[in-house]
Amino acid sequence: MAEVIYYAIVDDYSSRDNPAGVLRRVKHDGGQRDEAFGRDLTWGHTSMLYSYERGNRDNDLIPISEEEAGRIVERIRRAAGGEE
Amino acid sequence: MAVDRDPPDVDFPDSPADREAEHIRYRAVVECDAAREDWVAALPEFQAAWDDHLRRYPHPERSERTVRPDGSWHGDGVLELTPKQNVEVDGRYEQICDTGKGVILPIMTRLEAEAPERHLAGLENFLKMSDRLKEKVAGDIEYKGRSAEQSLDNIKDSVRFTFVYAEERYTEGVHADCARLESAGFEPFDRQNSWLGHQYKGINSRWQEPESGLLFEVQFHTQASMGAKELTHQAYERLRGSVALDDERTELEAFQTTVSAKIPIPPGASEIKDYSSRKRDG
Repeated sequence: MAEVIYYAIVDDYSSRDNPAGVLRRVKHDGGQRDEAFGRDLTWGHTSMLYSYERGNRDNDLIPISEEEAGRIVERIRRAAGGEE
Repeated sequence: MAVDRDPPDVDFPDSPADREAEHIRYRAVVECDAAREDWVAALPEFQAAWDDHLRRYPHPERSERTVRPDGSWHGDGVLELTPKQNVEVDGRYEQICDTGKGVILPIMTRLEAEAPERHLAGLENFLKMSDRLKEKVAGDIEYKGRSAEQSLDNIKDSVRFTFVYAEERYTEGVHADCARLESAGFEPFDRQNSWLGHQYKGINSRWQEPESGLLFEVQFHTQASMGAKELTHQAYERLRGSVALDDERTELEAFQTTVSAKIPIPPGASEIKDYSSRKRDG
């Protein structure tokens, strides 16, 4: 059974209410991985959370619900489709 | 024959609250001393654990970064820059190096000379490597939809320094050096206290050089927390890269947590306050 924790990515050009992106940490019986949702509309490996855990603050990473993560993904999809 | 003497000139706290505070401070010093002995004793075990990890996972830390004939840059995994973005980052990197070497470094070495009880460590790495900067920019373009220029403006550790203190001088030393940085004209941007963190211990702060507007990082460590950072550096590099598989990632995080848990926490360090001048809360 996998546990998935979602994070809003907030940088100097974005805010908690309008994050720049979304990241997830997936933990399962066989290990764990971190992925962010890219402008290519797929989830891909990211090092942001590892850097954050080591004190880097280029981005704030704020835990969010799966529903909120879904809304950010949809927003990115719409933007990629030229709707935003 | 007994000789009458004045009592030694020691200031004992008068009030119960002061005595309690002094007692807590003394206990913290004693506990930190004991933790330092435990840390030193654990180092061979940590090194053996890491050597064993490398034997079980014998792969390179990261994939190669390359510049293709068309001028595009390709990094770890899907990260890439177009020829135009690559030129933009190269140009900005040159400016960052000029400011770092010509303006910030001379001030930092002057500040270092003002107090002999601590030093700047790792000065040979005070400039981030350009490939690492490009990785960050490529990640920001892919995962945050930023332009190269926006990404470069948001990166705050392309120039970085590390002060290292003895545990017993750490807390007062951090406060004194933050005051020195401000007196030297640098503007405080933010400070992140990670002494109670599981993966990493220390304090990272960001400062702005007023003339160029460049943000740079100053870290505050003890010998032990700096040693832990170095001991776990390869684990961190593997976590950051895309080569390690999920099972290894769990082990790498566990290794960092195990090492971090043994770092002695200097008295008062966890109470040093965070601050931030950013407005990211909407």
